[in-house]
Amino acid sequence: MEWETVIGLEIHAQLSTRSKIFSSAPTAYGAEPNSQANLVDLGYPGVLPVLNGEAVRMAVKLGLAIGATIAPRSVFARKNYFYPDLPKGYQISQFELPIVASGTLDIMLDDGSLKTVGVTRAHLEEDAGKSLHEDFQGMTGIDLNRAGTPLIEIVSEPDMRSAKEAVAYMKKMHSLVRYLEICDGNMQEGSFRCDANVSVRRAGEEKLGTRCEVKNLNSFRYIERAINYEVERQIELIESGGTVVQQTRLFDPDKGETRPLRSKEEANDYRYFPDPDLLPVLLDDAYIDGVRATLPELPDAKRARFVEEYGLSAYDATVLTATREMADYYEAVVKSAAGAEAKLVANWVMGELSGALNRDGIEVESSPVSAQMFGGLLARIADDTISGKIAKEVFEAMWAGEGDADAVIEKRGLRQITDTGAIDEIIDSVIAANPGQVEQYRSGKDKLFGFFVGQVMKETQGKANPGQVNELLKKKL
Amino acid sequence: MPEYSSNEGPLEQARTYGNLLVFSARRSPLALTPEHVATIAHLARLEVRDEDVSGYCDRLSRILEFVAQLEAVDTSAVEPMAHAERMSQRLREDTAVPVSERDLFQQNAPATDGGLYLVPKVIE
Repeated sequence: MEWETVIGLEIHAQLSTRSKIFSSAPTAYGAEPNSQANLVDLGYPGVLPVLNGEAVRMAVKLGLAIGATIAPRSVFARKNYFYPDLPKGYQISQFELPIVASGTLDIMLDDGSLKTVGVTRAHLEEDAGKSLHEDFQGMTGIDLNRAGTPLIEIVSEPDMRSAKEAVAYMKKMHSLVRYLEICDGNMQEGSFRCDANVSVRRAGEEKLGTRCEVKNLNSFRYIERAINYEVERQIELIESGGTVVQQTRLFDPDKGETRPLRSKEEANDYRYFPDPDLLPVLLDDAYIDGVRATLPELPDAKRARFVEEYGLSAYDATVLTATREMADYYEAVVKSAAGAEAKLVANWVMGELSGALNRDGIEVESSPVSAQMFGGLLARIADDTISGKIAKEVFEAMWAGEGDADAVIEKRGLRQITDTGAIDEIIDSVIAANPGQVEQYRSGKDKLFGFFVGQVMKETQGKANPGQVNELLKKKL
Repeated sequence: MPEYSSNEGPLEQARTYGNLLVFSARRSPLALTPEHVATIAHLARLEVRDEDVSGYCDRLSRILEFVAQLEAVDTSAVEPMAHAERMSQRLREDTAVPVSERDLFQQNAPATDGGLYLVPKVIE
């Protein structure tokens, strides 16, 4: 039996405002419990919410970046439910009239083709506080610092057909919000997380299967594992004669499985209604155009430009534009690597640099080898001062803080020997020292050529220019 | 309420707005059942004694019937209203003001520990 997986994602991104969406309390992460919750966040009687203009501007930026409609009039609504980390007994959200509607996001599939995923809507809302279930005198601890932090909830169409596609979409949106500088994208701190709606249906079937919602996935790896587990569970369930029950589930990363949230039996009943404390948000064309003028170059446009301007492959361009920081770094290296081909720069940034960053768990913006230093190193390959092999040694030395490329090359005496006379001498001595091999080579054993190259490189500690060595050896043998 | 009608059917709408089915003029009379009352009471976290349920059914139904008179007005050409004031939302500048009154606020809490508010154990 062939099955088709259908996935839609609801992404929650915390907006990087300084203050909360409806109050002036700070939003910084990691403060003392409840030290950033003011009267509005605590839901004291008589307080009124006042909307943060920056949160609105950030939502509009996102909407414009995904080619969506920006609502000229959007309305905040109350979503009513009781939970201890929601002091007011309702969350201020948007329901019928969200600020952003019907956009799209292109993702790249494994075979290099593009797929367009629909974004149904994106709306503004406030985050809830945090419940800490560790033992506090047998009670639950509540920290309301996060209560009132602005969120944008981005709801996709059920357009994804595999866990891999869902991850590609999530990564693309992650990259986009960081390009737009509207969210720090820190998944460990919960700044960027998602709920996955997963269902399966028999191949060719039009009607969607019953879906389950897997809540609060905060790493790309968890999303993939949770979806794959859920798909398998649903297929097994149906194939063994059961039916999928619509429910909310949690992913347990330790066990690698999803399990139902101990649920109130009744369906959620949020009784949304327009919040009488907030007026409709009206945005005119002048405002929207003003925001549009502040948009940076977006990932898709940048990728296309990298292919066009630097002659990179689509794959290289995609990797280098995955984050704005990496793209900026690459371009800065190209600028300072006099004479080096853009393709060579791409190889080094994606190879040595990315490898070292991963190894040491460092972000590119705090790389110990600055773009200027890196460019200086690649310029020395381009002008034949050092070979690529030696350059790796220089790179490691730079990474360890031994100074810029020229300083390392001087200090360690790594300058490539390009003086023909010097190489000549060394070749002569190698030939003199290995008469047996010379004879074999001359009698037709071509493979021995590599032996001579190796001997010369050994004598010069790798500093001879390999091209020159080849050429001179051929003449002399 | 045309603003709420999006593309949901009347049944789904009713579910969204409290299982009440009361805003649909197609359904009449607007009598609430004891199950409705139990649901409403649970949503509001109110305890209702069994002997009071039928009284609530009658009185709440009468309120709904009273409100249902609005259905007689043709509002098809009226833009749905989201607020009684004909103004738009003022936007605040994004300036953070430090919070220094935590201890004062926590004097109102029945229990705290290390700055956390303590509530009866929530198991999810």
